[in-house]
Amino acid sequence: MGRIVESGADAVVTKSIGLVPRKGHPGPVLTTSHGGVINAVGLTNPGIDAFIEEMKVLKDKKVSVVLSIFGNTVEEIVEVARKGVQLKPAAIELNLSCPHAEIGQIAHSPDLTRKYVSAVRDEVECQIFAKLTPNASDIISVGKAAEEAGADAVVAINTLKGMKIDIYQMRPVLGYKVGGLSGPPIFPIAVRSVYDLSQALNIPIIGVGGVSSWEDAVEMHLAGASAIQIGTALIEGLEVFSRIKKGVTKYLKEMRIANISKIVGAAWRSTI
Amino acid sequence: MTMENLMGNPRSVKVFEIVRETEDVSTVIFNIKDSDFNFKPGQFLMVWIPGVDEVPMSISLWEPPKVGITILPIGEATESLTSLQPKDWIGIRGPFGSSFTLESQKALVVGGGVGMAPLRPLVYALLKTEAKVTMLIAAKTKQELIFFKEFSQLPVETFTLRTSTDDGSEGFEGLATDAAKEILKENDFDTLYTCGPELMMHGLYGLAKDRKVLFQASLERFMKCGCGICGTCAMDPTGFLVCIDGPVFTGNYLSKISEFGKYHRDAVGGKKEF
Repeated sequence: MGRIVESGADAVVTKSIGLVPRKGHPGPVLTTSHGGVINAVGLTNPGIDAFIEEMKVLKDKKVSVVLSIFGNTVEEIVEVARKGVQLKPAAIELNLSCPHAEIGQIAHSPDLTRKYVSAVRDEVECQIFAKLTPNASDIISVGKAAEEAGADAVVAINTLKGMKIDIYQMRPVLGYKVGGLSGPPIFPIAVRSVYDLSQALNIPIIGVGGVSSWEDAVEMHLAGASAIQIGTALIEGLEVFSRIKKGVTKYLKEMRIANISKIVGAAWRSTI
Repeated sequence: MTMENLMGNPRSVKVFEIVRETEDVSTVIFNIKDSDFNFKPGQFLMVWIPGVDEVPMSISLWEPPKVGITILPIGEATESLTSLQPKDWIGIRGPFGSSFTLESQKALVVGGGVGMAPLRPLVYALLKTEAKVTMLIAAKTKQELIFFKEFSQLPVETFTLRTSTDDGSEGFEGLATDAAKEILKENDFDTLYTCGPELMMHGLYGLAKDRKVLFQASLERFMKCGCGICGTCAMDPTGFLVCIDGPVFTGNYLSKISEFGKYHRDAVGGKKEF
């Protein structure tokens, strides 16, 4: 994480942390298909207590940390959040939508989403982000439920449920069989989700899903994202952050736009 | 680079042959026909054993199209690998990671146990550059010395074989580090290359530093993706990734890694002391 900060990211989102240590799924935990990555890591993490210890090494680095957490029950996620605030994170992101773990179903349902978000809202003071899934039949209703329950922002989108089958071995490649598709192939779906959500909600949208170039970043902002997360594109190296920032800065200058906030959601504002 | 390239061009291959190296250790050999499959000594593959797991394995044999990995069964995945039969399918990705550099003129190569795996292609590559190579194969007993027969029959003048066993059943009696200390006293080397138990490598690192000999070691950590995205193999405090910054690290790199010789991490990321 220290390396990510040094490479130009403004904030770092942790891997999702749960209440107790979790091994995750057997390998292979990731594979590739159609230019994307399909992963079924399975929320591997050392548990919140051990994680708090680990985070001490980052104390001297001035870094905004968004702590991503999950829980199998409302009580569990509340406890992780209560412990997690000790780290004084810039925000807590609720992973309600991992497609290759039991918690994947939460953000399919507006009611469940409302329960999880409001329970954490009642417990902690800090900013809360709710991470949504495009696998839900109606992402807008889920987003609205998160907003009503007190989320400060929504993060869209999590990975899409997918599968890769090896044609010689005639079986799914991933140990868990099903995984979450990320990377360039999901970018248009992320753009559509952000475009819809940002019109329906009053809280900011954090855009994520397949962003790998400055053009993607601009498009995501135009769709309505106030900030952008990058994951899969890191496979090409940590330079991705500085490359995107440089490209976006140049674009803004060329287009004579004062700052990025001027274009957030411009794609739908211009057509209304 | 395409996503396929970055993820090591996943492909399935059929096991061609299993060679038993010692009572426990076997080499699994398969054919790779692609002409774009390049390898440098020290690099590794992610090997998928269907229905079991995917694990990192050093390449121990490189005679295209024949490629091999050498396995000591220590867990579910490695046990399944050593019980494979010819014509069974496995999946491979890679090769991944850094490699040993071949600038040495006079090299000491120290392999402890199954740590011999990546050193076999290294020794052949060094001998091709006309470097003088002394290899120390170390194990608990004579029966556990890996590639002993192969290297003891190597008819190359620039190559010297030494052995050490904990029980003295072959060569030097005692630890590999003590055997290496003796060898370093008798000879001048410019580089010490090693792979094996981390405490052994840590001891050798100290010896090399004292004698101002360059040092390169191949490290092992729990790994999931092999290609620099999951962070499982990140080392403290620098965040160097064993899968892409390593597995081969120079002494200079190792001096910055505080966990070297002290601890590694288990499947959930918890610290485990050596």
